[in-house]
Parts: sequence; C-alpha cells; structure tokens
Amino acid sequence: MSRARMTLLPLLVLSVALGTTWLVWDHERQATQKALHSQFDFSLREAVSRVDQRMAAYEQMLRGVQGLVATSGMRNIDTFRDYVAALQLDANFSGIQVLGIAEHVPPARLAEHLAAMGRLGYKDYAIRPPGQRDAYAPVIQHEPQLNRHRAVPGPGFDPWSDPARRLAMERARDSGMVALSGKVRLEGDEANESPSGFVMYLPIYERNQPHDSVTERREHLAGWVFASFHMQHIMASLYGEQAQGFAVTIYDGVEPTEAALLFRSAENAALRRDNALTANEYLVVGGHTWTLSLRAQKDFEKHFGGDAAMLIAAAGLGLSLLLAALTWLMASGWAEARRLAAGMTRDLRESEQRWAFALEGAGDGVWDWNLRNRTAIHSRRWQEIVGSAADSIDDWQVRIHPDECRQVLDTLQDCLDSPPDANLTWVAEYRILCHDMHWKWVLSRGMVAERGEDGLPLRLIGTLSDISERKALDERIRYMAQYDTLTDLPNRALFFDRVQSELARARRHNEYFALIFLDLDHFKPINDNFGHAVGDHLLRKVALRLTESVRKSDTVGRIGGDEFVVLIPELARPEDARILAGNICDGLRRPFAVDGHTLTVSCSVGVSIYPRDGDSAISLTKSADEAMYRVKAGGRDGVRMAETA
Amino acid sequence: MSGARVYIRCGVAYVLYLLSSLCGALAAGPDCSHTYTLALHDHGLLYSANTNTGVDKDFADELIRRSGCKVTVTFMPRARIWQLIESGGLDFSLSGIRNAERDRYASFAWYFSNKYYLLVRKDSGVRTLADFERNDGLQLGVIRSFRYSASANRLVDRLQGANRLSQAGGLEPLYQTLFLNRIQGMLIEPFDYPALTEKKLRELTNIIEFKDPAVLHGLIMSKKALSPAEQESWRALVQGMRSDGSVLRIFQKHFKPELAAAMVDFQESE
Repeated sequence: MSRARMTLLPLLVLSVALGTTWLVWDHERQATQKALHSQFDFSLREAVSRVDQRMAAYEQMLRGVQGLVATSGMRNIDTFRDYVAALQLDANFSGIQVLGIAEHVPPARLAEHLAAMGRLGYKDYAIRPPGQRDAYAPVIQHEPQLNRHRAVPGPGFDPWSDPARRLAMERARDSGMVALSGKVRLEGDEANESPSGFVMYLPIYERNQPHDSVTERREHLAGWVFASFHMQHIMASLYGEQAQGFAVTIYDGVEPTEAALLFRSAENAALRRDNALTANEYLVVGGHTWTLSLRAQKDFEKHFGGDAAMLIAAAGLGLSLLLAALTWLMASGWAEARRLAAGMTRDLRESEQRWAFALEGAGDGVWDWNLRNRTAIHSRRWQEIVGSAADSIDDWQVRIHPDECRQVLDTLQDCLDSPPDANLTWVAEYRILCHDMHWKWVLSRGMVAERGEDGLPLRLIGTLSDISERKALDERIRYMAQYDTLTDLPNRALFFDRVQSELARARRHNEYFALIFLDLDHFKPINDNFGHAVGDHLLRKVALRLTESVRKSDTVGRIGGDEFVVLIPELARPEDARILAGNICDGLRRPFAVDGHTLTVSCSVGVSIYPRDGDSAISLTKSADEAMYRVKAGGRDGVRMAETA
Repeated sequence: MSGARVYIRCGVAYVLYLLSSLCGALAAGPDCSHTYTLALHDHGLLYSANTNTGVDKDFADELIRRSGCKVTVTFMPRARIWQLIESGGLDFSLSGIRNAERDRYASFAWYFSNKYYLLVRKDSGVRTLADFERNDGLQLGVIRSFRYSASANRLVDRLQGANRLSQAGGLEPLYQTLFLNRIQGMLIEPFDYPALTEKKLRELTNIIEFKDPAVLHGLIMSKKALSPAEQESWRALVQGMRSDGSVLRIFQKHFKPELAAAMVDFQESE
C-alpha cells in the first residue's frame, strides 16, 4: 500500500464518519426543532386558550348581570348590589375591578337622569367629565364600592366621553354582543401608573322592545352593564400553570408597542433579546384584538430541546476520530505486515535463487514432481542436461535407458514406499535419452517433499547431475587396468583372467586349449635405429596383424615390451595349435610399412596345450615360455611345442 | 250506492295518506325535547359580531325556524367551537369543512362550496404560491384551527413547521397585520371579498388562486352530542333548505347572484 493510500483511507473513513455524524446530528436537530416548534405552538395555543376561556367566563358572568339588570331595571341599586355580592368575586376573579351599570342618556333626558339619581340618594351626583356632548352614558352604580386594590370614585363617570370606551360601547350596542374596549386608565388608577385596564360591555335594551336590527338596537338602547379589568390581575388569576420557560406579553391591538402594552410577565426580564423562538397570536375577544406575544427562554429550549443533538455531535466526532485512528492503525499494521511478508518473500526468493544458483552452479538440474497429476517442473539446467523440456513424469520415464529402467523405477518405488519418518533419499544412476538422441549418464537424487494426510507422497523434488564425464573416466580407468594402452590388447591381468576362465571351462567340458607365447626377434635394434616412436608403431601393427590372424574367440594379449600371448580356447585337437602358431609366424614375417620404413620382423613362438602341458595358468605359462626360449636358443623365428616332462 | 262507496274509499285513502305524511314528517324532524346549542364565529360575510348579521346568522335562523326547536346561538372563536364540537359541549356550528381528524367527532350537512385564495402583498414580490413558500422572510396569517383546500393545507403545514405562521382568532387582526407588513399573506374565501372592495387593500395586494377543487362547507354536528338518527334529521332539514331554494336565497342576499349560484351549486359526492 502506498503512503498516499495509507493516509487517504483514514481520511476517507473520517470523512464518511463525520458525514454520517452530520446527517444524524442534522436529523436530530431538525427533529428537535420540529418538536420544539410543536411544543412552542402548543404552549402558545394553550396560553391563548386560557386567556380566551377566562374571558369567556367573565363574559358569562357579565351576561348574568345583563340578565339581572334587563329584568329588574337599571336603577335597582340594592338588587344589583346583592347580586354582585352573591357572585362572590373572590380572589379567583381578582382581575375584575368593578362591575357596573352605565345608563344611556340622550341630552334630552339629561335633566331627568340627574333628578332620578338625586332621588336614589346621590346628593352630589354629577356627570364626569362635565360638558356638553351628543350623548351621555354615566355610570350609575358600580360594585363593589370599595375595590380591593384602591378606592373607586362614586357614580357619575361618563365612559362615553372616552373614545376607547365609547367605541366598545357602540359595538356592544350595535351587535347586542359583548364588546371589549381598548387599553384604558381605569377610574381610581394612579395618574403615574401605566394603565393596563380595559372594560367589557354588554348592552341593555328596553324591555319588550324589539332589537333584531342595528337600527332597533340603537333605538331601544337603555344602557350597558360593564366589568372593568386590570390585565395583570387577570393573568395572575388564570387557571393552571404557564409552562416553564415562557415569557408572555399582551398588547392592545395588533402593534406590539410600549404604548399598547397590557401585560408583561416577569420572565421577560430574564429573556435575551436574540431569543429565536418567538410568536405572536392575535386574540379576538369581544370584537377587540389583543396580541399575545410568546417568547421561549433558554429553560424551555433546554427542557424540550434536550442536548441530544450536541451529544450526538460530540459522540459522533469522538467516534469518527476513533474510527479514523483505528483505520490508520489497521492500514499501517497491514502495510507493515505486507512489508514484512514482502521482505520474507524476497528473502525466500533470494534463498531459493541462492540454492538454485548453488545447484545450477554445481551443474545440477532441479526437478519437482507432482505425483497427483504426474506433472513435472524442471529447472533450466535440467533442460540443458537433457536438451529439451519434459512436462511430465512420464516424459522423463520414457527417456530412461532400457538397461537401467527397471532398476531406476524399482529404487524410486522403494523411496516412495518408505515410511514418512525414514526420509529416504532416492539415488539412481542411469542413461537418459537426450534431445540429440544420444544417451547421457545422469545421477538423480530425490526425496519426498510433501505427503498427504494419509502419509502417501504427493510431491517429490530432487536434482539431476550430468555424470557422463565421470562415467567416461571410470570406463577409461577400467580399460587402462585391463588393456595395453599402446596396442589396445588385453594386458597381463585381463589375459590371465581369461586364461583362468578358460581353464575352468575346459576342465568342466574336458576340452583342450592352447597358450601361445610370442616374442619378436631383434626388436631392440628397431628401437635403437628408428626410434621408439617407430618401434611403438610397429608394435601396434604387430598387434593388429596378430588379432587379424586369429579367430574371434581367441584372445591376443601383450605382456611385455615385445612379448605377446595368445589364448586359443575350444581346441579340437592339440596339433591345431601348432598350425595356428605357424600361421601367426607367417603373418608376422610379411613386411610392415611403418612411418615410411619397411620393416621385417620374425618371432619366436612357444606353445603349451592344456591339459597336456599343464593344468594351471602358471604351469601352462611356464611351459609355453620355456618352449619359446627354446626357439630363441635354437636361432629364433620358429615355433616350438612345449615339452612335457 | 257504489258511488258513495267510492267516495268513502277515496276519503279513507286520503286520511291515511295525510296520517302517513304527518308521521313521516314527524319521523324526519328533529327531536325538540331539549334545547340545542349553536355557535357562530366571526368571519367576513359569514358572520359579523359587530352587526350580528351574516350568511351563517341567516342560515341559523332559518334552520332553527324549520326545526321548531329551541336553539341557543352563541358567538365564540373558531378554535373554541371545534374543541366544544369534539367534546360534545356544543351541538352545531356552521360553515365547517371536513378533514380526517374532524370526521372522527363531527358530521356534516353540506350547503355550499367555495375555493381558497392567497391574498398577498404586492411588495413581497410573490407571483406564485411557490414564491411565497420559498421566501423564508414571508409570514402567513391564518385563523387558528381553520383548515382549507388540500394544497392550501399543505402550505400552511409546511410554514407552521418553519415557524412562519401568524395565527389569529379572527380575520380583522390579519387584515391589520397585513397592512402593517407584519404578515405578507393570508388565506381568504369569497366571504372576505367585501374587505377587498376597500381601495387601500386592493392597491396593496394581489390574489393567487389555489388550483384545488371547491371545498364543501356545511352544518357541523357533534357526533358526541347527536345520535346518528338526529344527525340524519338535521341533515334532512338542510337538504330541504337547499331543495326549496332557501339556501340560494340566503346567499343571494349577501353575494352577487352568479357567485351565490356558484357557491350553492355543488355535487354531494365532492
């Protein structure tokens, strides 16, 4: 593995792991955001719903008051007081500041109204603020008289004079339904106090008069019942608990301005300005719009968002780095293992090369046989020795010389059959047929290199040595030990071996054989006169002529400088030996042409016959030698038979 | 004699026919043994709390008159209406449309259908519905708990997930916030057309139509409050109002004749 790949792989793993982490993190973040939004929307809906329901409860209560006033009359002060007292507006309804009745007073009925109020006991009664207007709607009674928070001025305040209140009163009048005013300063609120009040109106129509259309409703309007509220008290008195981590702000109308602020929860102070989760919902209560603004604090995000995404990111990052590190370790470990293996392979190859070099250097070929499929692998040197390639064991087998084939295969089989722990080496010398159709002596050495589970050999390896030179040398040594190197005739040792053999045979078959001793006459002067080279040459020609003058079955040998012997076996008659010796002498008398010289020699010949002249090699030799010396003594150039004592 | 018999037979048959008709009418009519509740919500021409008039008001009056039952009509936000219909605290409401969730707790008697439109500020650069969805800076105003046609619902749901919805209890705040550019679009129906006659709004906005078929609107009946038989009898009343042209007349009172006819002319199978 290249260095680049070793670096790239961990980087790739790191990228994939980080990518996966990012995907999971992003999915979790989106799921969390979705859940957060969902929870936030739920909280917003719940906040709106709680306000809505609270206002619906107040509306219902005011409808009760409307019903009472509509049936009992507007100036029934005691009844109204008792009714309000019976309502038990305890702390649960702490949002309500007062419940009251405002009478519709057209300018034409103003005097009548003031008089009536006087009759009811309000001696100092006056409409506030004073002044001429197109109509009046003075509060003629409100309960409780003493608000739990502050003293409320007595009757006489004219809400019709306040545009915000008047708008709601007109809406209530025209629809016959509940109508809410905008943000107003309630009577009794401190001047320096930020107003957060509003008033809920329901119209009272004259009894037994139709009020099905807007016109009829305006025509038969008697007045209003109303309830005034402080928003912060309403919010404090809501049922249930606002979920943790939210800041609620309520504005009058749809514009979230400080001037329109009705309520701001304490949590707002703790909020960061850049808080992400924020939403406005527009409540329509009594035909009037409030904006409820909800902002989530960090607490909320922590509570509902959870830290799963961060946990995933951190864990994913850690695991990614770990995975990358592991990959790097594995990659580098693998690379190290590969490097070691490559080193070992290289060493092994070098070792093999060294071995092959050593073997091949020694001139040996190497072979490797697969005994299962009988295929063979041969080294280059093996092929050089044989002159061609052989792909199988059978190719090799057919090349073995028939004389050695049996023995070679038998020894090979012995090796294969040997027990595994014997580690027997097969060694065989044989001739192999080379590519040029010549036989070559080779030496095969082999041993089983691999065995199956059953112990049977599967593979055999070995070497092949070219031993043709050694074989030739051996042959030469053997020849030199048995033959005369000058004349190529058997020497004394071989000749007398054959004499011994013939003795045994003749004894067995009770036959004759003759032993002839021959010595050249006057050979020394030839050496002296013409040189040893001519002498040697003459000796070779003599030997040749001797060989030519005897039978194939006869043996001619040279046992001394100019001394020759002839063994004539299977002699039918002893006399035939003399004839044969005569023929030999005659043959030698013919001149020899040697190196430009014509030389003439004669010879002295002694003959002994078995068993007449001796029954052993020694006695027969002695007899023939004596006969020959008698010829020499008698003047040479002749043949004498041994004289038996 | 035979002539008298024939008269007697005809008379008996006529009396029987009258009796059976009466029984049938009694069987088809709703059970008026208790007071029902019906809630209206403020929504353009459907109903205006300021004037206590509108299509739904007229429809409710006619339905109540025909039923002969005592029905208390109240006014409340739409979201509250659906909560009460689900809980069985409210018997009826009007101009409701169905979805899988509402089918669990409400039954409907259809009396008109209409399409939905996106009213969008011109300066938002929105030409198609996709434009609006693509621009993350745009807020959509909707009335809480309102559902619309299929593609309008998809748009609303996607924007809800992206915190791009401004919800309101009625239409009026949506118009106001649209003017103030706090929202850049809102979903409207034909009942909201009168508002579009205002020059200021016309100059400020464009209308983009959702390519969905018209959506059926009808009388909403709480399954918890009304038995299937009762629902059927009220459905028969609505069907009667459609058949005799009462529904068309009510719509003609508030809409142009062609629009009124188009709204009340629909197939139930839609």
